[in-house]
Amino acid sequence: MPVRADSLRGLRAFQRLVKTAVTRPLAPGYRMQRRWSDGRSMAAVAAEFIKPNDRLTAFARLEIYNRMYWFRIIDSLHEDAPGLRAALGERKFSRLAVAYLTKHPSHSFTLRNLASRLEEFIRAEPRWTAPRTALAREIARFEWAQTVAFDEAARPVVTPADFARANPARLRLGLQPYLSLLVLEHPVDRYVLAVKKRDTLRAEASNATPSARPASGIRSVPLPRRERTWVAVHRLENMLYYKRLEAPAFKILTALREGATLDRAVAAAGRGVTPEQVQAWFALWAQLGWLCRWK
Amino acid sequence: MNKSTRLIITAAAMAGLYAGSLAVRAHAADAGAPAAKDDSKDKSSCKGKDGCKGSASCKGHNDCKGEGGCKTADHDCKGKNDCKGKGGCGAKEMAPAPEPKK
Repeated sequence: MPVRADSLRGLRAFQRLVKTAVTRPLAPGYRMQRRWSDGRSMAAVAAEFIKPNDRLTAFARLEIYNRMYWFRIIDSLHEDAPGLRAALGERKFSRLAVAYLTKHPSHSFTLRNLASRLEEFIRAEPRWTAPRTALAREIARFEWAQTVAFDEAARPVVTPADFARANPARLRLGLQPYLSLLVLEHPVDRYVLAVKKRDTLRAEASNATPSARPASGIRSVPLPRRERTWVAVHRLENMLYYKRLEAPAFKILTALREGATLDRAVAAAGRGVTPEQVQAWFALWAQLGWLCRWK
Repeated sequence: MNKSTRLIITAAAMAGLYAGSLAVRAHAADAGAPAAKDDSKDKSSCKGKDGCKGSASCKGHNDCKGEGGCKTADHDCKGKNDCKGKGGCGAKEMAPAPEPKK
């Protein structure tokens, strides 16, 4: 029976039907599934709301949009995760991407948010990344932090007027929303940077479109060995940066972000820090624009 | 950390904060142009153009990706030889943080 959209209610139902059909996971081989969710033939379901033409059946016409949707979101995730792709390999990454996007489909108006739950998914379903799950989780966190640094809001930075007469026991400082503080068990920052440099070299070495096959003479990037690393991912003058931090500096920033007053935050650094170090850190953070008014 | 050490360290933090903030103000005064003006210019320059992601004009501006500027535009970039490797598609996305001039 043809689907009718001749009332607001009918239109809503029709829109939901089309959205469901277009965003439904693909079958193996990246084709549209042959059966609808209730077991009916997909060809029959498509014929209820898609007209065939002289070249394409209703199924074939709908399949174009179904595939197009999936190729677009897989492509988007692919682009946002060069490090994860390199660590897992293209095939494994593709399987991970499809599994992730099936479980956590896009609910946002922007593809920017697509990878926001990738690290959580890898943790919950380690079979897609085994035996490199720990590394994969860290790379996913790091690459998501880059997206955050790319376009998260910036708040007004603190000025001397904000703290000139403040009591450090009451003074709270915020951190920019675009700044991510990561403690990593692998030097993922250097790994991802090396992958990007290699990819750039590959692209320059070939006139062909990007391919999974390495260009001859361009080595793959070795996986990082375990090494605890404290990193800030941020932006400055509209460019993305990462910055290695010393552990006590990381602790101070984390305490500030959690709402500690200035005197408690510096105490979080623990023993062994010198006044000169702390002075230099705060001067640098202020210059980089990381510190803003507490919300 | 005992109380007197904590006091000294806190004072050092305040001194650093003050010095850093003044440096930012001096830099802003040197730079001249108001940030808001640059913002609007850069946001519009981002929309719908190839090479948005990774370009200096786009990065860091809120609403860029969300308004369809980057994600809808960057497919134009893929597969074009002259794009990748020149920083257009993200080759320059990340670099070690520079130390600001003191």
